[in-house]
Amino acid sequence: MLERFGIRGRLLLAFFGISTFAVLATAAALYAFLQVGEVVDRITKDRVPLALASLQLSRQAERVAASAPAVLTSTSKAQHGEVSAAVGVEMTRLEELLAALKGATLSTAVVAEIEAAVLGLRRNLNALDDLVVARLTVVARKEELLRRLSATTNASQRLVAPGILVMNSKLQQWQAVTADTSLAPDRGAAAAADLVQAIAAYIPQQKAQQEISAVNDVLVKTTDAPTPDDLTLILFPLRRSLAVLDTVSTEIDERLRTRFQQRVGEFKALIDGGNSIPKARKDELAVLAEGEKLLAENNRLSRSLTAAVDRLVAAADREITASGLEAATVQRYGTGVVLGSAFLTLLSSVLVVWLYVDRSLLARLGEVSQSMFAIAGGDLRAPLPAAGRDEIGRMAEALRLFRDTAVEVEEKNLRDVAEARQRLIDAIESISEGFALYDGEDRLVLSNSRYRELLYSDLAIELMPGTTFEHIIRRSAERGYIKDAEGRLEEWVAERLSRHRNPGEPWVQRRGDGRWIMISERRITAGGTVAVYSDITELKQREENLAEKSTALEALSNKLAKYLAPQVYSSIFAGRQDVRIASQRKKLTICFSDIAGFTETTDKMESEDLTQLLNHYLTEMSKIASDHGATIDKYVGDAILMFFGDPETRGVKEDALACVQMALTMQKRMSELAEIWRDIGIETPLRCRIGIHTDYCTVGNFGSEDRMDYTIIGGAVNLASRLEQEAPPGTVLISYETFAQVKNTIDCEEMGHVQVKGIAYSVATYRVIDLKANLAGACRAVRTELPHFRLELEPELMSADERDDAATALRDALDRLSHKPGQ
Amino acid sequence: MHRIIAMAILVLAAAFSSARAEVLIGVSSAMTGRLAWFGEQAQRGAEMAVADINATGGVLGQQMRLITADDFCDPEQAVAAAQKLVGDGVVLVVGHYCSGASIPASKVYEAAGVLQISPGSTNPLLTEQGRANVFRVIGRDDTQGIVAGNYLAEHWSNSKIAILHDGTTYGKGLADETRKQLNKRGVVEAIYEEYTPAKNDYSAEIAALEAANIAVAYVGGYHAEVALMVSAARDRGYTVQLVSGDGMATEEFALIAGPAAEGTLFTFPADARRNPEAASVVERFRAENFEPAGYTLLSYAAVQAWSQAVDKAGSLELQAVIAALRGNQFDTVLGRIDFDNKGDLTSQNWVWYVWRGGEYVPVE
Repeated sequence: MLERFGIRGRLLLAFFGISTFAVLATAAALYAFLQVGEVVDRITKDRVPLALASLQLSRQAERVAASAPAVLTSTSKAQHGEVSAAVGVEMTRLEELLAALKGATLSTAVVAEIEAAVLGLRRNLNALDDLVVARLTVVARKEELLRRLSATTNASQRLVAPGILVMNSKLQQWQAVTADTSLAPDRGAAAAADLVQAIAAYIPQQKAQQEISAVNDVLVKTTDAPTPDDLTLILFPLRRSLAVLDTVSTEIDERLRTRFQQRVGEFKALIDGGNSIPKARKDELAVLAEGEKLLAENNRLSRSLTAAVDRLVAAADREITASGLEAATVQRYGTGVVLGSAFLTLLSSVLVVWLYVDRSLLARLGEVSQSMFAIAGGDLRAPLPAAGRDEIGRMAEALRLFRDTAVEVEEKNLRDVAEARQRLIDAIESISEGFALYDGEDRLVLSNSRYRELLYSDLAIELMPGTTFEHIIRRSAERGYIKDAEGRLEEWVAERLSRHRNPGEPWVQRRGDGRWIMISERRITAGGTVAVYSDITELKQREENLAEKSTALEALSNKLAKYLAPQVYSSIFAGRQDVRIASQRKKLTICFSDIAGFTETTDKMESEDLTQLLNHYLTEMSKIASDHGATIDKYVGDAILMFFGDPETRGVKEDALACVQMALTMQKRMSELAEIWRDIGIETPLRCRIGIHTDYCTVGNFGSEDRMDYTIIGGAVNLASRLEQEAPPGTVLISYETFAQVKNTIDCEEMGHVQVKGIAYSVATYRVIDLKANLAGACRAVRTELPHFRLELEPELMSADERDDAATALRDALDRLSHKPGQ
Repeated sequence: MHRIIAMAILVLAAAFSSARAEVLIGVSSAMTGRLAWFGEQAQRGAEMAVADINATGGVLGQQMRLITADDFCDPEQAVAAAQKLVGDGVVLVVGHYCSGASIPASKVYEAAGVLQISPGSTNPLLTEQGRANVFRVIGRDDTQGIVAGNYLAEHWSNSKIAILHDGTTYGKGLADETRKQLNKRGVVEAIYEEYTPAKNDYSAEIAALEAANIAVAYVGGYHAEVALMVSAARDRGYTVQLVSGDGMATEEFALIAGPAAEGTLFTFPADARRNPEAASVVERFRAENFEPAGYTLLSYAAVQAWSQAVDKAGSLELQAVIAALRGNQFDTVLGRIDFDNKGDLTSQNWVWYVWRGGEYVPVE
């Protein structure tokens, strides 16, 4: 029946059920809290302030009661004012507290009682205040009366003082007279009697003095009389004293009488009547008694106030306790309700979720999701949950439709793949090159028939998809298909695998049957390798033919080179110089060398020996010339024509210097060669003459179109030749022009001038000695060669012993020479 | 707001009125003992002056109140009395009477910043101490001594003159000044002696004078002793002229001496009772059955001069009042008076009086 609502409706229903319980629980909790709050409010708003106010009131009442006696004890107006104001402030505060209490309390009876007590206290304090004012007035009056008493006493004492002084004087005189024995007894007696009479006249004044003192003393004491009865008693002696003073006033010196009576009158006023000292004391006593009474009343009122307030506080306390209990009860019930609601809410939630949500929703959802996973995993035949009318039922229905569609799509895809594969095979079969595709693990995926045909025509090698590349090449190498792999099978396989895995430029492989195959391998992005094989055998054969011809040409060229100066050769072969008739003028250093007396020396030699000697000589010289960079123009018999400055030049000066150095080197070599030649039987050593000149010449190719010669022409050549002829054998002769270029480096000796045919002026000549550098620290060797005598001595190189030996040898030789043969 | 202001005004007014309640004035003299009659004069004079000035509005609008302190004419008690008055907060002390009391007390007043005006102390030292707070409304003994010396020289140059003193500041001071002037005038006293004051009988001293044949005796001392001396002389029938200073100006002299008082001479400032300015005051004293003799009116004048000085200064502040006292003239029952910078009267006038019929009258 519930299916009508759908999942949404049912879930909503479940949540509403849970929420309803929660709302109910919250409402119950709220109600409980409100109840507790109300009770707490009642306590904090009503009871507690009331109790606090009551307590404050009680304390204030006590404070007022305590401060009241201070009012009474104040002795001055100012002090009284201060104390009274302080008490007034306390009282006002008390009344304020009472007013506050009146507004707050519920117990009107107690408040009325308190109010009455406070009113009484106020009244009482006012009365006390008035009383103190009265007392201060009385005290002031008393003090004024005392001052008057003092003044009156002084004034009256002053009045009797002269008389007493005179009396004292007379008394002393009388004492003197009675003591004076020089006087006659009758005169003495008479004088004494006169003095006694005179003294007697002053006795009333003395009495008055005593009474004045007595009155003063008694009146002073009166101010401290403890009770009114004492006052009454005191009046009697005072009145008696007054009577005495009255009597005295009639007897006193008439000049002073009026004043004395005036003073007595003042005493009377101080003793009796409304403004008397006893009366003032009496008033004071009355005021004090009243004050005591008021204070007692004050204390009583304060106590009753405190008692009433205590009752109020007790009542407030009781109410607070009751409210507290009430609050506790409500709180307890509230807690119960909240806990119950919470439990029921939890229970209902569990039941709804367990009985309904889990069983009728989650279980079915689980089935649907299982089916979905199965389909996703490829199992399109997995069972599907039953369809239904609610959301899950519709989900199952949708899943079924989805599965059917998936089955259809799968079948179509398989067809498409087969078609595409066929097309690919057709395509690769149609190309003329061999094609093979290996996957990431180097297994053959695909190959065309040309591949087999080209590489593995032997059917023994399987080329099934899945065969590894290593297997294929190893089999082909074993069968001798690969020229390279002969005798080094494992090595080659490793090389080939490495190349296959890291393919580079296309390369060529020589097959066992003599064919050349170009292999072009490429890694493809998917991780495999594509290999294309092309047969390039024909191409390769043509290339070999060409190489053979080229080698023959090179050999020919090398032979030809020997007939040319190396410089000329290289510049021609490098293409720097054209082979054509052309010439140019350049400043060159020209060198002629010749062997002195060659014809005479070689005349008796066999032709073969001569050839060998000459070739040896020319080879040695040519080598030196080449080393110094000379261009060898030509050999003419034993003479050599060389020049510096073309086709390459280092500069005129450097060329000249190189030329002279070369000449020196040649002479040095010649002396070394002489020894070799002596050993092979040439008795007379060959000695070389060299001439050098520096000047402008024409250099280039001269001759006909068929045959030309690279040479120099000009007067300078002739001059060089002439210098050579002038040079003593074994020396180098240079012209001034050359000398000018080399004089800084080479040590030369001027040799005089020579005339040259075709040159108008004579030419200065210089004999080259050596490099200046060599001359500096040279160890001059002693060399002498004569027939049957040869001396070669290098003293600087010898040790002391060697020198001694050499000296002995030479001396010996000298001795032998000085002895005539046969002697 | 208004209430607060009203309260503030009330509080201020209360404070003001309590501060202005009264101005305390002290009077100190011998209120008991042999010189009590002089004390009475000083007190009565000051009392009447205070009452009269209060009746016309007081000083600076404040009422005055008089406090009395008894110094017994004793130097030590005088200091105690001065301290009591200072403690009570007086601004003026009218006193003391005896020079021997005034001089030590002046030190206390100076330290406390209290003005002192003496109605009866004549010893020069009082105003020679350089205390700015000290004034007096009576002449100095150096002028009184000159008057007395001259008088003795003029009248008794051929008789034997005795000069006696009681050894007090006043008595000895006055006797010495008189002797100095007398000697200056070329007259030399026959006797110069000190007697003990406060005795009841001076017969021995008089007998000695009689023996020395003294015709006139100048006594530097107070009235009681002089009275006993004249009594003793009369008792002996010895006629000797006693001459003394201002310390004689009390009725008590006649009361003690009786008929012997007749003819005794003394110097005193011009009797103010005869001044027209004093007439109403004198009349009122007499109505109270009190004769304002001696220093009564001097005391009255002291308070008058002070109150006028305060009004002129417009302040109770000591220095202002001192300046006003020094810089102004004052109309008093003594007539118009003014003070020099030492605090003495610029005009000091001594008049001779003689006792006749129980009272003193100017010598004709």
